[in-house]
Amino acid sequence: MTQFSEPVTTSNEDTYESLISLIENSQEQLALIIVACDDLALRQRTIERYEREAKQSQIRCERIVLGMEPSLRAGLAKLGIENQDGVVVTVTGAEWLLRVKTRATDAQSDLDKFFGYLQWTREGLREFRYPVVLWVTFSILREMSRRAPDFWSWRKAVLRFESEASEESLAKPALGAIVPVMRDLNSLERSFDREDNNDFIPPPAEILSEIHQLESNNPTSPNLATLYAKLAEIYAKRIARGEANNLEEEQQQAIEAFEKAIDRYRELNKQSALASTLNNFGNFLFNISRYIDATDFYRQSLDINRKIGNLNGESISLTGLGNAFDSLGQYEQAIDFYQQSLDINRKIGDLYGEASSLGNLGIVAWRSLGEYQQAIDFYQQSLEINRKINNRIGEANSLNGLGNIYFILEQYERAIDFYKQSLNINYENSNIRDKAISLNGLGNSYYLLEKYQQAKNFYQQSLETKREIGDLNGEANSLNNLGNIYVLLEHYELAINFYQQSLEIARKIGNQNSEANFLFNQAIALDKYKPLSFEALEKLKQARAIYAKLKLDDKVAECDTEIDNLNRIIATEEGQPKEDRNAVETPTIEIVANDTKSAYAD
Amino acid sequence: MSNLDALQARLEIFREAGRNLQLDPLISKEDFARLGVEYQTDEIDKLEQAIEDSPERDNKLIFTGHRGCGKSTLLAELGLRLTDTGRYFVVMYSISDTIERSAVDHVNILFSMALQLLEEAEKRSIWLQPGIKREFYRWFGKHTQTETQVAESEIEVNAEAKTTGGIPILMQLVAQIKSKLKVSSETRKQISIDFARKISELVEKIDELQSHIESATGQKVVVIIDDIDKLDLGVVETIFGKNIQSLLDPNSIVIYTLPIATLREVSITASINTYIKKIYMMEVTKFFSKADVRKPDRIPNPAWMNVFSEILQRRLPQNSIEPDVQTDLILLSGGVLRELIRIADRCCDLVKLELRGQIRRQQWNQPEVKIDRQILSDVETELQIEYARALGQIDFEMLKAIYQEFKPQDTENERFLDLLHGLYVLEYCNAKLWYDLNPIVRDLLVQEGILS
Repeated sequence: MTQFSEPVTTSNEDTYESLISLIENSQEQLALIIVACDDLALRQRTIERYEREAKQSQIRCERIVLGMEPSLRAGLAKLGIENQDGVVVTVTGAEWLLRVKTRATDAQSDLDKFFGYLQWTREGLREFRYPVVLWVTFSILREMSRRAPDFWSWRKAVLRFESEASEESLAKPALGAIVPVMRDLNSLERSFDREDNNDFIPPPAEILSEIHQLESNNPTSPNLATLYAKLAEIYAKRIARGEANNLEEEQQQAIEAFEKAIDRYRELNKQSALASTLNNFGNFLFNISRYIDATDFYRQSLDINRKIGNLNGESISLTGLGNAFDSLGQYEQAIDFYQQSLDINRKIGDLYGEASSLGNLGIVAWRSLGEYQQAIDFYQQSLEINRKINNRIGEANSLNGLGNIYFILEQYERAIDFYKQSLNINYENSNIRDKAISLNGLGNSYYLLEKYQQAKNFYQQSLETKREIGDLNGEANSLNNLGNIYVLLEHYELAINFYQQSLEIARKIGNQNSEANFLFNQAIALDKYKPLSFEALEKLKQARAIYAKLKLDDKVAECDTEIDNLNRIIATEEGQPKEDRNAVETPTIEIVANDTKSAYAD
Repeated sequence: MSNLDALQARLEIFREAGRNLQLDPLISKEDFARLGVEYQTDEIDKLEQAIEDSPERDNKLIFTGHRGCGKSTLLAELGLRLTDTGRYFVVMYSISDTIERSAVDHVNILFSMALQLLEEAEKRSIWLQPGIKREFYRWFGKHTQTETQVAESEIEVNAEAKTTGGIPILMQLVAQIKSKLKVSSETRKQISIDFARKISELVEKIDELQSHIESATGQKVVVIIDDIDKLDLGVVETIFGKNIQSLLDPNSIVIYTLPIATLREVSITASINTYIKKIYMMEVTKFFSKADVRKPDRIPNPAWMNVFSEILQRRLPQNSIEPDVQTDLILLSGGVLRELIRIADRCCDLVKLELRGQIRRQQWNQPEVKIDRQILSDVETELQIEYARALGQIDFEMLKAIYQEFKPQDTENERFLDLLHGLYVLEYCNAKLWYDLNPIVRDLLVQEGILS
């Protein structure tokens, strides 16, 4: 890939000279050479270059890639180098260590662990009497002296390589067959009900005790409807936040509470409360991916709102229906409902609603039949309105939507521009939730630009932000996206781990659609990690079963294709080993894109 | 006692009278004990019955009447009466104390209702479960951009405690939120944006508070929102014409006060009548029947004259007004209580002015200063000038026609409604509605030569 003779800038060339002489002159002694470099391509070239030169000088070259337990000492010990004459060990992988804790509950992040190991095992390094070239990023370097001071004091030298290439060619690792294609954006990151996760919710027991008291004192009290609706809302929020003690049980309790509230409102003939509760029930079912059931309740809510002439309510129910059909992949119906909702918002002069409906239409337009131009139109209209009414958050949403479109159109630079604008507004307005969405969009763009380091940084920031506000759904998506990065970097074990975490969250909050998506991705990573294991096949089947249950036919078909492929390969490999593997098209990974769908179906 | 002392004592007596002649309605039991008289108690009976019999739905009452005809006092009395039964948790407040008048809309009426319920619950130390309570404070804080952390931890600390008069930190927080709602247009705007499209969330919060209060007290919540009638007509029309539905959505019994002029607009009355069984109306006192009012030898209704005299006696110093002057003063009010108080108060002001003049000029041994014909006449002139300021030629024509016909040509005419809202024209009611001019306005028209 890269020639030795390729000219490097003078200062880097000087640095290279220092490096190679350090390697040659530090044989038979422990020499910790810390090299900072953010340009992964340059690093690759440099490593290849000094290894070639070293080999010419009869120096053995070994490499360590830091993994999930980033212990330098353990890595070196594992190499088991006994004859310590003429060896150089190159250590990479530090650059992929996350600053953020892999799980919110973890005591330490990867990077914490890395520094911890450096700090506490430096004495143990003395037995390795050869030069160790530890590649880090500049930001890690800056932290090292502070966070691993003892290790730092043992350093032999610190070298710095400046980045050379333009951003475009930066950090393109040599990848095998995987080329990620943005194929499916169904598992959208919805800012669906825009409910603030900081809202405090009382324990259900408090409401339950009041209900019991009232039921024994005054079983016909109209307040029971209010209290059951409240109870249902509390369960729904607990589930969405992953706070349910027992998911299935609380889902059941939520459903029962919704049904009781609905029955009572019916008896009391309280139409507007009934419509609103039906809609909330629809939202709840939507959140746990029961899209078809959700449409049923949105429809009932719609009927009542129409009957009592509540136009706002009607528009909200229509949006709910749009969302549900969108998720079911029935885009034409979704467009129809969004359009109706748009008409109402225009009729009642609700500009906020109008902008939001346009945004929804934008999303569905680009997802159905690739009507990008139309989508851009919708987003532009919504952008104009939002600017007119000075709705900054809405403006950020529209910009983000435009970012998405250009992203799909593979105009990543432009997408980045929109995402950045959107991000700025969200920063300005401390709109944390949408900030996380913009960050995720940036991550996606850099990802497809193959600037994985940057992509990783943005995903990481997005992940942190989502954890900050307790947005579990978003957190799962970010973890999934990080998993995607690691697949591309062939760190399959890490990838599988990330998918696993996102999977656990999806299960915790009962989001089956996401669960299936993550299973699918994990299967792909598993197949890479341990080819021919039945585990991948098993995951694919699990994903397929869920898609089938949700009646997401396209997804089912996709799984079938992958399952067939795998079966064929396994059969081939069993019969006659090897080869054909590469002939099979590599499956594409689902990327979780952002969605600023400002569906206010709540 | 020197003459100076006598004058100063008399001045003090009128000062005291001035304090009793505040235009504010009577609210507390003490007010009623000191200044209250029996007035239109049958209206209170009707309202009380409506509340007692109110079904679970259709439990919103509209109460209307001229500005200053005594609605607030009557509602306060109703509130006290309901409270005394021990079966009602009455929350009464004035919308004009809660939100700046130009900014009132249906969203912030509902928001203020929720806030008022919370405040009353706190004030009366109603025990809400800590989680439930905390959620409410967090919610109010969120929508008014108010920090609630300290208050929330206080709730935890006081989870079991019963404090009389409310937990101070929480009362402070409520006061802070109330003041934001009142003065900060940013906050109100944000509330309107937050709820414009999901008014149901706001109604849910009101219903929750009402349910919790009812669970804790075993009483029924009654909300009385006063002074909506003080708002500009256009504002009221938007609220009750277009957005009445959401004001009827809360579960609690609610009494809304509406300006009488609003109800003379057919479209709005139609909108209200669709949802509300009956509009309760407090009438202006009729001293004369329509048949008699223009007769030169008309005799005012003695029963009403007695009530109005009693009101004055409760507030004015003894022997401070000549009996025939008192009669004129009462008639000049047109039967509107607040006008009666206003005229009497102005008269007292002039008396005090006269007394101070005597003290300053050391004019002893003068006849005792009283509210006499001259003083009343001066006050009337003062008021006439105030009324005249807003009138144009067209108005004079319209007023003349009303005087002659006892009704306007077009009851929905905007200008007529404004004149009605501004007490230039008073509405009286027998079997049929009829209109007459405010006596001060009538005298003004006579002076202008428009009426003879």
